[in-house]
Amino acid sequence: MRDMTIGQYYPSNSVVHRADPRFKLLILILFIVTVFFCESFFSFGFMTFFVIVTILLARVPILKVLKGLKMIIIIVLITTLLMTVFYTDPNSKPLAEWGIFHIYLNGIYAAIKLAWRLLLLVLMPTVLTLTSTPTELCDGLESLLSPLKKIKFPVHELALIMSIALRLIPTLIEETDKIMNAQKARGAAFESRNPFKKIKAMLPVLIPLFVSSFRRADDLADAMDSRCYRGAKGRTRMKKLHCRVSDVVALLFWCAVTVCVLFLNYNWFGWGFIAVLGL
Amino acid sequence: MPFLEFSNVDYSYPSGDDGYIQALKSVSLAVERGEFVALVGCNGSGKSTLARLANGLILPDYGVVSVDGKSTAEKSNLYEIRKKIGVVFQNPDNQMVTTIVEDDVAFGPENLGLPPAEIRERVDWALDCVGMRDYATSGPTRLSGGQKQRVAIAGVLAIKPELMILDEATGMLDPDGRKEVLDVVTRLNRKENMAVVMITHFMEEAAQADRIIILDRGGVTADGGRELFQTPEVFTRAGLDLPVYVRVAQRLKSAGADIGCPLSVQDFVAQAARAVKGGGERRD
Amino acid sequence: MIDVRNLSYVYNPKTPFTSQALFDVNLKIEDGDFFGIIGGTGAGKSTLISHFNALTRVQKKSGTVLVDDMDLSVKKLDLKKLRAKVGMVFQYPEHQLFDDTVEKDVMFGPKNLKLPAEEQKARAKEAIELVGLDYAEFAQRSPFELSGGQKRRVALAGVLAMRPEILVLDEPTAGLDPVGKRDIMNLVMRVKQSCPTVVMISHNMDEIAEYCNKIAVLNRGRVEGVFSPRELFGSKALLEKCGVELPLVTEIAVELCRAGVNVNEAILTENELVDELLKVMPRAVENA
Repeated sequence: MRDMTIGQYYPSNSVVHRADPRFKLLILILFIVTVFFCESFFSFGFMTFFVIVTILLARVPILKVLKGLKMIIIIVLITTLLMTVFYTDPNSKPLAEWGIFHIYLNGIYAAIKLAWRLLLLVLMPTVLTLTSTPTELCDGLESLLSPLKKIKFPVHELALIMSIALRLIPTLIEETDKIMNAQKARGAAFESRNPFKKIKAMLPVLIPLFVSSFRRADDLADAMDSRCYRGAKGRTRMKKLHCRVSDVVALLFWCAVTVCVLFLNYNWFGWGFIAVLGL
Repeated sequence: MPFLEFSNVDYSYPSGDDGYIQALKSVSLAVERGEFVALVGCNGSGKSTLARLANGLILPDYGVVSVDGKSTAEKSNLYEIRKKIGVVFQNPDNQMVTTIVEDDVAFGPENLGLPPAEIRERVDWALDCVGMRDYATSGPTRLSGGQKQRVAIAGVLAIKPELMILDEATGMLDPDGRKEVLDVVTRLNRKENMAVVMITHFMEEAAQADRIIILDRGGVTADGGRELFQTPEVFTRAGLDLPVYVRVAQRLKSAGADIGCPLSVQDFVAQAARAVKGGGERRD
Repeated sequence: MIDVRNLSYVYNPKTPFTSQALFDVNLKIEDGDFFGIIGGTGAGKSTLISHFNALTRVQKKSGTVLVDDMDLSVKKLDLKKLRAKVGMVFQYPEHQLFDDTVEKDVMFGPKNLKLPAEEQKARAKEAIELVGLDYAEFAQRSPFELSGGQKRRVALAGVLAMRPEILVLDEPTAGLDPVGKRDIMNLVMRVKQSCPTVVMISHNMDEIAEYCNKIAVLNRGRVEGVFSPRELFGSKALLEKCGVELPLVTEIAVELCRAGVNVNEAILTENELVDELLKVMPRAVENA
């Protein structure tokens, strides 16, 4: 479990690190929507190019990080494989077939697109968490959702819960590790195939974990009360989020990328059109 | 009027099938501004209950706990009381609210509704006080236990309380961590004149305080200055050890070689050396 | 016997978060040893001992660990046999308690060893009594209602019920009050009669000096050496090199020498300090 690298912050002082988290979140949302719009290989290539530029600007060791995400990459590969062999295209002849498996050219295309899409969907959020601290993300989210306060939506509480959860995840992982080891040392085996047996085998881990989590929650509540916490009322913040011109420019730029992708999807020659516009 | 005052406080909590366990029985004590008090007792003596009563996290079944004349029983007083009394708890992992040291220290002053510039100032000052300024932007996972507790102390300091209670804050630390925390606390008491109540069962730590209160099975059995160490029975009766140097001095005394009652290694060495060198002359 | 040979260990290999915890560690724990392991935070103590029952597996080309005749670097390992042989008690072991009665919780280990039902029960009874709890009084109680010290005993019983031949303890007295500490150490000495080899990590130099016959000093993942208590605490040069704190009584003796009082520096217990001082001190009243 210690080998998990997903969601970690990689400290540095790049432009991407310094950007306003609210804008980073907005860009991420825009990016995800755009990825779902991508249809042609050309549009995928186009998006990938800008992702690579972002990674270079962020100066994060993305390849090493991806090595830490082996599980996700394996899932992507398996999905791709399944997609390839189970794709059916009534309008063309399969390239090859074994029993229930058929391989169509369009199937290969669809599978590659799926894998590419999943990869993009993993990459960008990873860049976001590598370049923003959890506090920044929570503050950003709180600020973005603040209009909802008007309809009595508990924005502050939600952001605080998120922040505490992010704070406690590593502690809980460590704790799970410790308890699992303690039970393994008493001969427990967690590798049963039968799912019911598996759940039963996990009880000696889950029960102590719950007990300690409740204790932690109590402790934390005491510590927060002791430090004068009274909810959002009358609370101020040390760090105010500042949006700079560069943040707005970045957002506008990504909007432009989205527009381009829409064009690229429906009109190969749109590329020329944009180039002309650009000139 | 004492700053923190317990008068005839009873407290019991429900437990299993047996009904209730009485944690405190008619406890009365008072702590003044600027004092350095060690509250000692073995596990189950009720010392942590006392800490939680002091800032109104729990309320007495009987009797009154008051801070600066205001009772904790009045809900509207609690905010003011918690501004004046800060508590550092035992588990270094269960006190941090955020993932960045300086954001966590800012949590208290943010709750006070201070302007951002002042919060910044207080955070920097508090981190300086505990010697953790260099770690302002690190996450808690990279800190040692002692460092985490120093951050917790800074988080309390940033509220600028008049009294700080350390509820076995060194209990889960290694010797280095314990020393770090003890140094910080002693300095705060001497330099910033902050009143400190240190709850502990490490007697070497208790010997640093000006006043010692012994708690045994829910009641105060002794309350006095360091001269308490001259009557070891009060400690042993409460299931506590004496510091090694006090123990050795006691045994020397019973063997006929009195060197007084040393309260630190330095004391012991100085007094023993004086006894060895001076003793020869007396014999003549 | 535990024989550690050229053992290295790296966390998160080949990622930006990589860190090496052990560097070429060599040490040998003989049968009958009370073997102490000391070192500051991040010295690699916990990583080292978690190799002893293969909770941490020896990495490729990173040395090996031998427990009696078992080589822990081979891929196919009889984990059940190993974990019954090496009993591991972690820091704050009471956090592992989970079952609704003390007896059932202690039986967890024997149950995992697939022992017959009567044997499981017999071992649980034996272990509960070994840790000094009254079987009739405690067996059917919930472990979650017990006091801190009692919980720790139950957790210890849970490991002892596997009848280990080697007992590994990670700071067994952490967080306990003075009476609790003494009780647990007395208990360990009692256990040592039937389980002769004990390995203990501790930050408490007084405990280390009093109980261990060999002490390994770890510093940032490297073994600085394995010493007898007198070698280690008697040599100032060694202590400084290894960054080890003195037991308080030894520190007093060293300070006394510096102040010109003629006592032996290399003392390890309170009794020795009293004796040394009485030798040089004039007495007001003659001892009867």
